[in-house]
Amino acid sequence: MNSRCRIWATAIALALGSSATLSAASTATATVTFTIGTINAISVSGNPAAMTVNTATAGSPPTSATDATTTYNLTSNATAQKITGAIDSAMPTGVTLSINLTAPTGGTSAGAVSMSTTAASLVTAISNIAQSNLSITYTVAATVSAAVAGPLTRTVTYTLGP
Amino acid sequence: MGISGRWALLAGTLTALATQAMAQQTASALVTFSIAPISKLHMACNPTHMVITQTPSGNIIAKTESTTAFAITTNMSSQRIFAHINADMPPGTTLEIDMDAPTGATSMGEVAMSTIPRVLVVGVSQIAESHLEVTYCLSATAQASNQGPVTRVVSYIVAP
Repeated sequence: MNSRCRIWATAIALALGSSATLSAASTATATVTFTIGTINAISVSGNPAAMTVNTATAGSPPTSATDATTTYNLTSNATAQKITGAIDSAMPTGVTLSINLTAPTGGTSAGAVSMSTTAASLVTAISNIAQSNLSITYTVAATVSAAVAGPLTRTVTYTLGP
Repeated sequence: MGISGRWALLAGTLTALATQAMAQQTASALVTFSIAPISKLHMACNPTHMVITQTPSGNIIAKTESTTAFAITTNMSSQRIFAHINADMPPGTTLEIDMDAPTGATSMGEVAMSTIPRVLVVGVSQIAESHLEVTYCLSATAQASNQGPVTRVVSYIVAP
């Protein structure tokens, strides 16, 4: 093979080799899999101050005691969630504990709800929200038939979920 | 089920449990409360001015006033309503008070007042009631001198 032919052959070989290299390095792919799970988180700022029913207007039932010093925070990326509340044991005869949660934006508060050991809805229609410092109002009411007692305690459990 | 199948089942179960835990969360608060003893008594108003002007044909004449009422709330049992005046009545005069009893209690009827507390109602238990009548009766003998207007302050107490 003369030199000219060798040069052409070399050039052609180089060209074919480059083309092959480019074809070998054109693209690569990777499959990324991810999930956004349902997230519900709720917290309270603390316990309410102790409440004492200790007075009345003569002729009327005893005056209720109220605490509105605590708040709650919540985050939910789901729709149509609700907050329920329940206490760990029944209230004494003649005594009622009511809880009123301020609703987050778009939610609906049920107002003052009497607590029992059965979970009761306090706020409904909670959807895609992250909000804090929402007020909680606790009210203790007693009839004249309620026995003098205390201090007593009840643990309130708040649940955020469907 | 092969080993790979069991692992897949376990992974699936754990994922479902984690999902459930994240979908619902709780918070708790401790509520502390007390019910204290309560006794409240309220007199609606003062009785109207009682004037004895008629010369007694008998030894004792009296003037009665029943336009006032009282209200009471107590969450305790077996309470009593006492009353006393701030100074003795003038010679020859007597002030008696008769209080209606709230439901379940017993009135002592007309009770002559003095500076020593007297029981007017007994057996007052766990009640909230109002518009209960109070009757004041002023009597005078011929020995009561011309005087007045004279006042006495009646103090009512709810106690065991």
